[in-house]
Amino acid sequence: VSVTVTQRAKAEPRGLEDLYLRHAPGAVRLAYLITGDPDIAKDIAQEAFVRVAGRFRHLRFPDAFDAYLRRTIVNLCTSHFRHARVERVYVERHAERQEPTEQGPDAGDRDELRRALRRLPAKQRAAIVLRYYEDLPEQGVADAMRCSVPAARSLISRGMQTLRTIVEAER
Amino acid sequence: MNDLETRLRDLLNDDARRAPTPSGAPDAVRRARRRQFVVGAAAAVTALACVAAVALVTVQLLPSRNRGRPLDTEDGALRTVHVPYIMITYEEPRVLMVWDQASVPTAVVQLTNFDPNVRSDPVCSIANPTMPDDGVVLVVRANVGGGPPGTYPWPLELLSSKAGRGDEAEGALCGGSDEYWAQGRVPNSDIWIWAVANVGPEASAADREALFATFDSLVFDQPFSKIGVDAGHGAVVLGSGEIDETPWLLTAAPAREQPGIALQLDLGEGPDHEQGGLRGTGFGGVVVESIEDTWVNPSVMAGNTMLFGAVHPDVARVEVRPEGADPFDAQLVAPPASLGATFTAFAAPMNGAPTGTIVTHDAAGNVIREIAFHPDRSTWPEIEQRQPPAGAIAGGKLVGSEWELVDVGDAIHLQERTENADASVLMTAPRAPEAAISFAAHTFANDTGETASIVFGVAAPQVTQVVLFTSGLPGSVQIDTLADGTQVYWQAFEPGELKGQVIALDADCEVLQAVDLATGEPVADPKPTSCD
Repeated sequence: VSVTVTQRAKAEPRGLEDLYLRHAPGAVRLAYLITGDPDIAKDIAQEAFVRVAGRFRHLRFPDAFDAYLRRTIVNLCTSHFRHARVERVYVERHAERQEPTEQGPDAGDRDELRRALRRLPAKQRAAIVLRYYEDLPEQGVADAMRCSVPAARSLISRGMQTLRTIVEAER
Repeated sequence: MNDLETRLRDLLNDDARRAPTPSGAPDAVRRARRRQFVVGAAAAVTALACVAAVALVTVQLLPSRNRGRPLDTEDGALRTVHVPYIMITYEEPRVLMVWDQASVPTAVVQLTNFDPNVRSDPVCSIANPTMPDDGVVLVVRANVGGGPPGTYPWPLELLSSKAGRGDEAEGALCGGSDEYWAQGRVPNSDIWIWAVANVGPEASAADREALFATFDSLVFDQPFSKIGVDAGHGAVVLGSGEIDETPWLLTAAPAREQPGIALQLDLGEGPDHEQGGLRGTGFGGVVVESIEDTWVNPSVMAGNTMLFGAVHPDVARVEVRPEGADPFDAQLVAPPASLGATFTAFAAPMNGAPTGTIVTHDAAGNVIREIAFHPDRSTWPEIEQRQPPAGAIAGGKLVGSEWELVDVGDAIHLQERTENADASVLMTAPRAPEAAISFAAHTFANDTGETASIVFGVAAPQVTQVVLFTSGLPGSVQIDTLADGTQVYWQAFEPGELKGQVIALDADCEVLQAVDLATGEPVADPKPTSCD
């Protein structure tokens, strides 16, 4: 009995670290793509991990840790913009910010698209990142964003329409 | 995949490679472990609290099973509702109301986490100035054209009204609530929007978050149908959903110009039912606040059937038995208490256009009533009416028979038109009632056994309303005033079983006279009406 207890006592801390190492890089990438800010992305990813892992034993479906984490990241990203009430200022500032210079023949197009993406409202941007980076189906986007499928569909569609409009207008 | 999507995927994948590396594991893991401990402790405390609260919660829930919650929902479930110009997504349980101002292309929705005064204006308006301390409310208005120039495009943020107003404004708004607002226009459309949110001083963080999430979820578009809500009255959304990708909406609202609640189903897409092939329908009748047992209306649209209606609150279960398909239970919902309705509504979307039966059960499982339904036929049916012939008071067609009511001086005749345009008198009601009303009734039948009845008579001047009870909901009947001031009442209905009462009421809702439909004799114990 004592051996078993000892092993379990050791296994759990190791498990949390493993969990972090396995999920943190993806979490930071997702937060970065939504916020566009590396520092905020790291903070949000860590906070999301702490929140989800902190109630890991109480999750209804612990196997779906990544889905919980994704939902929390999206929530924290949109909350960040809303609570700070800086989204408009942020968007304007970042729209004007010089993006890293791209190499290659399509660098100009990419900058345009990146700027357009930054100008999208947080929810639309999150929906687009979930759909086109995470490759989630509409149901998955809706789950992550805690909205209905029609609402998720609408966010994606409006986001793409806005992107298209901005990109075409800048040409 | 189109070009933009491909470019977007490439860009996102490239940018993701530039994302920073995560912060070190030790700090995050340490915080997570600490939180695990806190959550575990909190869970234990919560469990104890739950045990202690069970008795109280049970007592609280029993009398309040009808909270105005839309059909087919659970706590925390997300619901998306389409109303004219607005699509809103919110977390249950909430009360959603809709104002549709008939003469202006405008829609107003209000979402609350409490039962608002549904017979008044939106919460926090002059006419309805208070809200609970733990309440949250979101009111959104969308209208076509007329917005101020230079407004921001949607999507918008909700901004605090206190910004720039100084501390003296603290607590001045709607019982000390925090107020937020937004105003703007919808890009590429002429829809202008305005929203205000109020958060009570004791509202939970979850309710506050949910309110902002709901605001973010709003989608503005052209209306899918015109909701027949009276100007000045809001309608409560009782249920909503999609059938065959077509949105449907069930609402309840105070009836116009008479007591009772109008229950209405809207289904379809498009601003006008009669143009452009767009679908939609509604029930324009009146549901008096007390209901005898069951009223059901099947509406068939685009090959699908929406079954909806109302039952007495004692009905615990409404079972739908479609012909040739498996039976299922319709879900029940009562309007919020402040509407004053004492019926429970139900709606059952069905694929196909079936006939069948609905069976109502009481709490003990006993069958209360079985009612056959048929596409496009209500237990309180829409009777085909026609322009009456010259000289006739009213006219129409019932199960193949053409009928008309004719004033012959000392009496009102019910006549049947024959193929050679002759008229045969079927029944006569005296023009001078002995009491409040005179009464006559006739039942028509065709070769296939279908029946329909008509009741009619003359009402004395003091009669302001005549109510008919059959097996379904009571409803006010048609009253036509002749040139000399004589009031003639009449009502046709299918099926034609003459069972129930007709009741005459005065302006104070006092029962002046009640007549048994089967015998034509006075009734000593009139059915209760909303005025009782």
